Amino acid sequence: MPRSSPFLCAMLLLGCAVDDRLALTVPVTALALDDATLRPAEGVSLTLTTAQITLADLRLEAPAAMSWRPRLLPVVYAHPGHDLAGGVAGELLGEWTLDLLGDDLVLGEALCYEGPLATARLSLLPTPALRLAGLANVDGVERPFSLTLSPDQEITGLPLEAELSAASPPGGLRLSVDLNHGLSFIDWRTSDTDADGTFTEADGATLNTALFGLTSTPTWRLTLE
Amino acid sequence: MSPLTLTLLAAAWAEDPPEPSAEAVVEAPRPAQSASDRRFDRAALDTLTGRSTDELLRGMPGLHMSAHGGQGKAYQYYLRGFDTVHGAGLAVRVEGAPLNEISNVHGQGYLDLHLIPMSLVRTLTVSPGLARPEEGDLAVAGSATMDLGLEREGLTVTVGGGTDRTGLVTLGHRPLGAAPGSFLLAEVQGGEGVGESRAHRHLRGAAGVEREVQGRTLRGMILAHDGVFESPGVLTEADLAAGEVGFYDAYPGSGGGRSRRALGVLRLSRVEADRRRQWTAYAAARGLSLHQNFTGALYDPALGDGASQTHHALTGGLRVEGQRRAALPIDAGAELRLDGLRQAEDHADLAGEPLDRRFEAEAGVVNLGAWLAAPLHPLPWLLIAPGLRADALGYAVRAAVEGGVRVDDPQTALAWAPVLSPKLTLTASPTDTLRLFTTAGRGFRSPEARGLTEGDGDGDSERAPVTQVQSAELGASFDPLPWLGLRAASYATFVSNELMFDHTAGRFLSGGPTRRLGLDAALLLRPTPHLGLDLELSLCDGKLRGAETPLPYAPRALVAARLWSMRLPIGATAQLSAGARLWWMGPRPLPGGFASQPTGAIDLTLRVDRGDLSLDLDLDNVLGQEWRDGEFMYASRWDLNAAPSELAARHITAGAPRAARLSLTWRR
Repeated sequence: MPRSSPFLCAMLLLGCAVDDRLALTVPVTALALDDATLRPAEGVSLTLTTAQITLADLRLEAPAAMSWRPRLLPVVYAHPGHDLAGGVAGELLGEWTLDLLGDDLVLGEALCYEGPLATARLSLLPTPALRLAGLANVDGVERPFSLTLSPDQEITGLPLEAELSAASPPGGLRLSVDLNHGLSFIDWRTSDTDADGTFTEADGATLNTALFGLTSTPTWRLTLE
Repeated sequence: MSPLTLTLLAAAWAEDPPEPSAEAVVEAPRPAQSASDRRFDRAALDTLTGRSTDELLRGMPGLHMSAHGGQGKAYQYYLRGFDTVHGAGLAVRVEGAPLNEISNVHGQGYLDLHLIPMSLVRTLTVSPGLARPEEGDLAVAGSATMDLGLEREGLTVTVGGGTDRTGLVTLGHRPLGAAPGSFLLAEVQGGEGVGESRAHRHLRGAAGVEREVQGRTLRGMILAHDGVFESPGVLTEADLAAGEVGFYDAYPGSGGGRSRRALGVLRLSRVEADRRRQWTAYAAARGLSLHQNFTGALYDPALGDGASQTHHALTGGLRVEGQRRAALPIDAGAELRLDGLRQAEDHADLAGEPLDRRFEAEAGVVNLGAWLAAPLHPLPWLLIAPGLRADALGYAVRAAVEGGVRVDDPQTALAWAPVLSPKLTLTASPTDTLRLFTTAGRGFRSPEARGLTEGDGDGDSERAPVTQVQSAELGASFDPLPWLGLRAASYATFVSNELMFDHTAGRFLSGGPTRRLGLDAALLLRPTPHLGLDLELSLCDGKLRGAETPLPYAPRALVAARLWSMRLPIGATAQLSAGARLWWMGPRPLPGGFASQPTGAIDLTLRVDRGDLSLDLDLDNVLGQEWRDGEFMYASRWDLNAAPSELAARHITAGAPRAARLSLTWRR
């Protein structure tokens, strides 16, 4: 087969050289707040004494697959492997209660596959409850505040555009929360409707606005180092 | 220069040509249209390794088979860059009757050969690539035909068992002086298998009559099968590495099923000096129930992700074909196939018990096809055979449950599609030892009926989406020496739109255009009439056009070596038939940019015939490798105490374990 040898060699190389996506681990750290003083709105200043949030299950997602790929073959309950693959490209499962006024917390190592990342998602858990407390200064008037929330919600679509490579793995993934944004939807001027002397989630629409802000995507940020 | 051009040129230059001197692999009685065509007679079949009739198909160059469903479910077939799933691209006929099941609930073209006792196969002809005009629906990656009969006259009793905890008892009888097509056969096969969830039991019965009537040959056969089987399903690589499961273990509720089928065929053929005519009528009844769970309890943590499917079908058909060798030679034929089916799919718990119905429908499908080809010889050494096949597909489908919702007033949706499949074959034999093949044409795959349920109820019929496949092949066979044969076939196959039915969405989805470029090459050595060595190499590069993304699952490199001895005399009274098959498959692309590991195994078969006795020894996986029959990347959840991971994990299906089976056959 002398004259067809180059072709055969090329085909053999083709047949034997199929790239595989390698796995790698990426340390994930939840960052504490830099400053216990927040300014979520004009004329509003908050000094936190308690900031506790419970999180679960961080998932890193690849860019949306082209429609043909997962759909080329029937689904998984008919034949193994014939469904969406690669939607989740990295994952760190677990539950963590963060003390945002304490130290940074290492959540663990996310198991990831090589390739592009586009978004991430995580869950806020209702227990232990999300607690934010401290002293609010609104237009120069101080009053204590205490928010106890029980969110049970997934936060989706966190931007995370990156390319993971097992050859040069990233140093780590940092999760941070922007409470200035998260608490900016609350009307801090709401009167103390239950007259207990403390501004709480029971006052006015605070429960809804606090939940809305703390579970909104821009409140959370992931950065790859 | 384009890859296609390179492929075609390479094939043209590759040395090749003709027939092996011995008959282990002989050319088809009708002229071969491809250098990859093979025909195995009974003596050659005895040299093939295999546990069942399905596995005899491994004689097809480039075919890889996967058994993710255990010993009872249809195999999964990969050929020429196609993942045909359970047969959606591989058309098989037995005694002229199609075996692929149209619109089976488990997949289009479901090809289950457990109906056929392995000892009853007399000839097997395999044809990778675009089929002849006489093959229609589903014959896009390849086709095969089988003829049945009992090889020897008299009573035959076979008893065997193996280290895989299986046993076999076969009783066969062919009256003295009767043709091979006259027989009675009953078979019980089954056992526990090696590992967990591999138990199976098959009952088979067959009867045939072959008579010469006024210059015509009349053959009638009835085949029946009832099989019950477990399916080991998949294991995660992580659980294997952690020692949580053994390689031949199975997760609870992994699956299984029951398969029942009966087929009756009546063939009348007449062969004259210049013409041949054949009429085939067939009828089949089918019952299939399957339970499977490949994701554990990922989607339904409380009840599990099991699914059970049931399918009942009645099939009937008539086929008329003839060849005339006159001044204007003509091959022509027509066939009509009718399918009536009922099918349902349920969400099932981990034990396989149905919970709620996802889908339920009944359908009628008709396929009327006709073909015409003119095998012309403008020169003594040149054959030009233009051909055309025309098919009309018709569907009537009524869904009682769709997407888990019972339909209040089910309407019958009507759909139809005409399909034209032109073909052209050129065969040149410039010398006695060299033959060149060129084939180009189109084939098609019909859609599943259940995808056509969205009729608007106005009684108007809609156009059914048909997947059309264009392919060109260039090959050669070359036998420079009596003991040496070379074969090569290169091909380019294009699908304008890979239409697939999505069971979840309940509709057809466009997969986009794909192309496959490949090469099958073989070196056939025949040092003596009784000994041979076949070395086969199959390469295929399948891509989604535009994105140039590799097509998942289909093997890109497959190498097989088969050393065989066919009826080798041992002393004055005994004969030895043996075969050893070594195969290796390169990494396969998996969805999501992953790849499988290379894999391979060695199997042996040995048969000694002496007088009225035969001793058969089959050795599977001689080296005892834990080879991976399949690899898949997706998320699953088998440990209900673990957090539900959505990260794709590597799953495997275990290949055949090392096992030895011994059987003794007595005849009188």
